[in-house]
Amino acid sequence: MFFAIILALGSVSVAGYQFAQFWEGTKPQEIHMQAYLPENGGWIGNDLQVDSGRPVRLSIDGVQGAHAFAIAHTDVRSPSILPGQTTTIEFTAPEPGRYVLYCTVWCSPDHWRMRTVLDVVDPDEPDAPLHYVQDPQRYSLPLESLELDAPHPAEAWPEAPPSAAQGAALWPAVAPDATPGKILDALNWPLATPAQIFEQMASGELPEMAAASKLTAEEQWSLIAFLWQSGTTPDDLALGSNLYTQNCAACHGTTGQGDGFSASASPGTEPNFRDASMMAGASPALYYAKIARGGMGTGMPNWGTILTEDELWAVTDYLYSFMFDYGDLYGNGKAETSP
Amino acid sequence: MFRRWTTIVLLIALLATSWTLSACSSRNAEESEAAVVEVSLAEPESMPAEVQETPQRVQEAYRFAAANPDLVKQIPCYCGCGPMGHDSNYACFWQKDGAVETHAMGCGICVDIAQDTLRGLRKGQSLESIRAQIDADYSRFGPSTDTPPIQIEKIDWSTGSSTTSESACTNTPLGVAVAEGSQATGSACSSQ
Repeated sequence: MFFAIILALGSVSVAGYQFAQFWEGTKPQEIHMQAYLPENGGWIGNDLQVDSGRPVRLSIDGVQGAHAFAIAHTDVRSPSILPGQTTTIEFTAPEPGRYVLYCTVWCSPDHWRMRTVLDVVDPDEPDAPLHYVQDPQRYSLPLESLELDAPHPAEAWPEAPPSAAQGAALWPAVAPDATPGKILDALNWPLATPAQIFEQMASGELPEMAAASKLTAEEQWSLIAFLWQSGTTPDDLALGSNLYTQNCAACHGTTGQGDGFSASASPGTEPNFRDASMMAGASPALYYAKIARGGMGTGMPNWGTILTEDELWAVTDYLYSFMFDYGDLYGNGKAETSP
Repeated sequence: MFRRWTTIVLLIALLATSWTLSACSSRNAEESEAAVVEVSLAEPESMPAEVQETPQRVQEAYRFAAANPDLVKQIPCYCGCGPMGHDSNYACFWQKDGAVETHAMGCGICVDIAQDTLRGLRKGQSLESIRAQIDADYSRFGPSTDTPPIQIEKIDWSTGSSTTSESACTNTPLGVAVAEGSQATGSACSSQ
């Protein structure tokens, strides 16, 4: 009888504790911030930290400028945050990790500095180290040898934007037994540059495409355009186009020529993505790594802690649409004129 | 009858105790989340004019590096600045002769690494764990600067003093104060 009572009391005690814990866990965690222009502090508030899995109520007082925010690697997006208004959003705290909370509205020339960090801790291990939430990388890239900051002039480049459609038409006769994917693998994509592949193709060093060495330079470049197009998809190009327009065009320009309205605010000189003599000398790996890391003191933001792996590659793929003519894949006429 | 009421009262008391314990444990957890350490920053007015013109998040990183050189010199940078002669994140902000280094004004990773270090210190993290986090988070973006291993083994945040891995070292201010606001300085091996 005595043990039964002890057991019952113990069970009640545990149940009570667990219910109280559950009740606490359902209460939203309140976070408050103020939104200033990035020059004057950007997102101002206490260090943002919440428990994973619990509801969060985040309120932001708009003080200066028009803003909105997104939390990287989540679906959390805020509506507009305007001066004199308080915007409140609720969401469930994601998996433990460190998340970048960044402005999604071009609020000032220093817009890209308007970032802060949301730490999401595991309530069972509150002292566990937190890391930025990042996807596994598709490729292990040799960062030292990529030389991200060195000029990369090409040894050879096309005189006019090569047509992927022309390359697709030539492909069956040139490489009847090889898929573009197999060729890309053999060419060490994404580490190879278009110019390196052109040299190999023109000199007959590619056994699967030996017939290509007898084609004109224009035809050879069209095959390279087709190969590059085969390395992506219309959906990825559309995604890359959207991300480029939202995040890159202000400096690099909608046409990729480095003439965006905010280009002059950057301490560096914007590259011209339509300059084939520059583009043909850069591998996809180089552009991917540069987008992820950002410029080294040039004012280009680092996107590696914000964009997903798929998004980083989508923007990389899209950059080559300024050099190659991908036709109707996203009919915006990006490659209509010569660089 | 008396037993039944005793049991009921006991059960209610147990439930209330459990609830209180649970609430206390969550409150303690929330309190522990608050910043526990006040890290010194150089005065804004002491910054060169070009630094004062940068966004506040950048200014804060410059002020943090200026006030805590011996901590920031033990944090590597991953923006690829090693070939420029940079040997730590500190070199992205300040040159060896004390002049301002403008590099970090246009470098997102440099500022993010300094801000992550500042945030970790404010939360009372050890320099080793901060550096381990930075190594893990940023090494995928570029090669590390050739930064010596951490020399400060332990920082006593209650007093601001530090334990170093070498007995003979130059004493320099850490620029760390306890949360209550009483300014305290410790010593660390100079990384020079």
